[in-house]
Amino acid sequence: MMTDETKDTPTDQGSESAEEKSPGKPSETTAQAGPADTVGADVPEKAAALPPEAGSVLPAEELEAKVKSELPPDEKVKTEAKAEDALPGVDKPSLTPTVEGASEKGAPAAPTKTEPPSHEAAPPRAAAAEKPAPPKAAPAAGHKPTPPARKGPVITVDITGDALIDGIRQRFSDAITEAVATLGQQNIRVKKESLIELCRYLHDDEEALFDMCTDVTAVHWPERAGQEFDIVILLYSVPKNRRLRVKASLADGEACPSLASIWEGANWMEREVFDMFGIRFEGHPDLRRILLPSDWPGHPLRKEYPIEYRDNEWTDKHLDYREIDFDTSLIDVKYAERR
Amino acid sequence: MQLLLTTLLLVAPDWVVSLTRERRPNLFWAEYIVWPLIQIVIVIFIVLTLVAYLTYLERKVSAFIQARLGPMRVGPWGLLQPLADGIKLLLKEDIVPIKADRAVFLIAPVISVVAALVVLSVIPWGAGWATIANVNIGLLFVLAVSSVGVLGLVLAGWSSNSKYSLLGALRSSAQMVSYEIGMGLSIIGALMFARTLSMSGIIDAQQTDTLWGLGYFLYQPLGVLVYLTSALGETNRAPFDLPEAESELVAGYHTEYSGFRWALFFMAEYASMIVTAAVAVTVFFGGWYFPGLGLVKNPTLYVFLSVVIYALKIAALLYAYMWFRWTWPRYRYDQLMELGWKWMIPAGLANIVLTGVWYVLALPKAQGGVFGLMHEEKGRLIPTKFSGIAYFVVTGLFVTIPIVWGLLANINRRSRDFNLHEQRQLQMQLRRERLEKMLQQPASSQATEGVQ
Amino acid sequence: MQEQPIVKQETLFDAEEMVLNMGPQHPSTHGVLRVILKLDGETVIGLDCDIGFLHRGVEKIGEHDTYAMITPYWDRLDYVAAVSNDLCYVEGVEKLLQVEVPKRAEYLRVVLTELQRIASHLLWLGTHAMDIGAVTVLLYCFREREEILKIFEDFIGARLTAHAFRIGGLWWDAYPEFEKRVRDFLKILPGRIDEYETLLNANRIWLQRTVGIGILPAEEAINLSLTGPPLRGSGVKYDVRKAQPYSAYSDFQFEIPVGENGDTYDRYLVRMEEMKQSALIIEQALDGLPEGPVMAKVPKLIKPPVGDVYHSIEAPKGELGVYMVSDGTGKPYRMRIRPPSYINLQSLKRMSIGHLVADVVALIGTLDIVLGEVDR
Repeated sequence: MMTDETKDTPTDQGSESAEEKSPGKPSETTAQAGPADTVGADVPEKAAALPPEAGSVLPAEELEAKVKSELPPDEKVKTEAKAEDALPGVDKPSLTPTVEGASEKGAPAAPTKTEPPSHEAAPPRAAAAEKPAPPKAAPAAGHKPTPPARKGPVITVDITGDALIDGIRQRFSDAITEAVATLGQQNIRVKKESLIELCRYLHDDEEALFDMCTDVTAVHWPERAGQEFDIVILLYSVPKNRRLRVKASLADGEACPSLASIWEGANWMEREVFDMFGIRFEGHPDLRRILLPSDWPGHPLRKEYPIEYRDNEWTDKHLDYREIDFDTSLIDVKYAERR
Repeated sequence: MQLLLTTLLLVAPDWVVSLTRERRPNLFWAEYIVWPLIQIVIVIFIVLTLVAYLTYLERKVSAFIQARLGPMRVGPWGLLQPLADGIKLLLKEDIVPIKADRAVFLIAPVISVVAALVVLSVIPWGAGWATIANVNIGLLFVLAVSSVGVLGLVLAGWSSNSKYSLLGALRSSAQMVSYEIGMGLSIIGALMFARTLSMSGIIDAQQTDTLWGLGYFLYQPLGVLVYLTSALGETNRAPFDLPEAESELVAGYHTEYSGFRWALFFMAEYASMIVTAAVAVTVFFGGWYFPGLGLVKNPTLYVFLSVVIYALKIAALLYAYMWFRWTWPRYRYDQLMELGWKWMIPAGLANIVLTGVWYVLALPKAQGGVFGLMHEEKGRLIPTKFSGIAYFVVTGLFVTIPIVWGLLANINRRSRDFNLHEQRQLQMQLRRERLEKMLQQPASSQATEGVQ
Repeated sequence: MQEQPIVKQETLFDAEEMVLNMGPQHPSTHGVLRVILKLDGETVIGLDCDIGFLHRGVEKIGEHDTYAMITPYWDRLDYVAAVSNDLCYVEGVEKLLQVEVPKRAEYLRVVLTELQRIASHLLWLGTHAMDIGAVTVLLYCFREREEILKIFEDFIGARLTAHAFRIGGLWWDAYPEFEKRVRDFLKILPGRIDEYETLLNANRIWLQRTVGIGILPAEEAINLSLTGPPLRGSGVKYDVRKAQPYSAYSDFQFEIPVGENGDTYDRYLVRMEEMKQSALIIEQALDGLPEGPVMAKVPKLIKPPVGDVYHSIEAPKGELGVYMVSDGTGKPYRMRIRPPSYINLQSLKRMSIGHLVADVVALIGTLDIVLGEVDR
């Protein structure tokens, strides 16, 4: 999405970086060492003040044309033919997991994925765990100019008949918006307000006993207005040898309760989520950037952060590099000051 | 080159003496000025070359222990490597930190090196005239002057104006001082037999006291062990080299030194290594004597052979030092100090007491002893052949060591690190048994399918 | 659990605290790791890790490359054990695609992965022993590792960052002398491991440096999300190969070594035993190596169905996992790497407070971190 636009001439970079400064940024540029005072220093209020070519979501036709041009030509033919081998009785995979209601009705906001939300009763989880015979090539979902009628296999099915999930559902009845299994891996989606309570329950309850937090991460869905981020928590129970995924969705700028008080291992995981996505965690003992320098602007794993973006405030301040003009003789090197 | 010099050494005395006697009637110049100067020059030249080649030897020995070859390129088999290293160090930029105390900074390595080299004057490199100064408090002189080297260390750390250099210097110096006490105590046991502090005198005593002149290690195995350990601690060699190890956080005292000044510190360290090895050989291993040397009648050949034997014994001990360095991990600083103060010093003291007890018990009946296993000969008390010797060997090995071991175990019983091996052996054995039992179970009971 | 920020001290003889910086360039930090220590004399009272020097944005790249193009990036994560990293990722994609890998490929994958585990543990042992002072062990371990790397070079084409596995199997079959060379190596390995154990196991200096250092009880270890040998050293018998078997591991019989006290010595024993168990697995795999193809039929353009999946393996450093969200296109929507070294490094603070400065080096070594994985 950002291949051509970022190859700017040097003169444009200056104005770009001026645009880059997000509003309301505190003016501490010198102190880089204090670990406790950079919480909140570099989270922009909105992910809005990025250069226009910084890869926002393109309109549908442009994106499709772009994607189509990237595909090798014969693949399209193959996928058209192969689509007939789609699993009978299964219509459409839901692209974005649903955020309201426990059904699989996809309400995707992405312009490219405009499948009609029709979906039949899924086979129970046991069948899904047996890996129903799939076609060898996963058919393309949405890489055709017209919305296709037939889709690839659905690997996400509702969970039925599991004691633990039923217990959770009973206890947190309306907070659990979805409990599905993907290829045998159980997912439950919970509302953010009940997240910490659910996690405590999962940690303490004797049926659950999820004592190890395997991972805490986030996924950015910019098309879902109001629910842009998915916090994904992977849990593992050592005594019961059982995995579970808990998902909660957040709006952009909303903070998430911190799990570091329940699982100490979630400490650095949440710091990395904050570093990469800008999601703040309430109650975290030491929320600051971990992988990037403490005064780095922006959060890279957001979808609008371009992959080839090289120059920003931080590099202006800290990296002193020179543009070398190789046309002249090697002895005589021209330096262009970057300040 | 060495051969030429040693030959010179052999031929020189008569010629020089005759020369000087003819020219000047005063023997003073010959005996006390000219001849010692020649000796000093020769010894310093040889020892410094030896120090340089000791670095080469260290690299080769370590390489061979580590299944590789070491320096091979510079000269045949890498023999010119020390020369290349010396030239490189001389040509390096001489950096003096700006805020450093310049005068002290410049003089500190000199103090270290001088202290290490002055000691060489009393060491008996061979029989007869092959020692520069045969002082009759030779051993005390050695211990005293080598302590002066610590001053150079502390001054270096202080004048570098670096927090970490200072801390490193203080740690190094504290370690050196602690282990010097151990060194001093451990040789007193042997001195009880020798009854003299003169280095040549100790060697002569060993020829008569011990079996075939092998050395006091027969009677003082504990003394040997304590001395060797303390010598490693004194010279900051592994396993006691934490203050100067590269992977440690606090840098050593020589961090700010570059070029030849650093080489001076290095030389001081290796020279003190040679000195401590020489003292060990002198006091415990018979010095330049070897059973059968008495058969040589030609005096110059005698001296020549004695020098060679001395050199070989020192070389064996230095090889052992290098072997230890490349085999063992290093102690942490607090464990190091604990070893020095709670193990070496009590062992040294106990050794003195117990040796005294055995000695007094073995005195001749006329002098108040009980067993009477010694007799007067040429004005000295020496153990009688075979019964006295056997008595001292048995008491030194089989009585002293268990008593001291029990004493040390009791002193250190409550320390956290005491006898970790014992603590872990039981655990390892239980683990092994558990593993064997589990491996014999059928495979079906082992794998557990989980929800992935 | 509010934390006090680390205070800068101005003069040398100020009060009790001193801040010491174990900088990014240090012989013992196994890479570019910066550790800021707050000391009281020689005792560590606070520790902070400053990481990110090797951050290359692999997860971002993972959203912009096709599935097959991403595989080589995984080698560079834990560059010491590249082959097992690949296994995690390709198995994750194969899970999404629901592709069945041929049995021969699975067995060969197991052989290569276990060889890589031995190589990684050898490097760990060498560097750990060197940090504590036994330098010779480093050279010996590299001698053995050299043999393994030669086998890799002849099979895969590269020694260190070997792009060994493809989605669907292996690219090439084993070369004719492969089995013989691996068996020859397995013949000399037990003797060499005995050599290392003789040098270190009962050495009183080694014991004094490792016994009782960095004790983590089992519950705390689980709470800190430790995985791999640090967790097993604390007594928790969790190994992904046994708990949630992947590849062909359920066909083999092997034991999981578990420590008791959770100190550095136990973690050392666990890794030594793991090397021996890996040798057992390789032998069983070679004995039962089936014939057949080594590559499944996988389309040229890999487009898994929509969904998300988490797959993890037991890498030499711990539980290496991939959480992949697929949106049906040829590129992942989100590729999250669950890095064992990063998560294990959290426990460094907990383990070193109360110990001396010289122990911090031993603790970094015992956690066995590789900065490529910590920073990604």
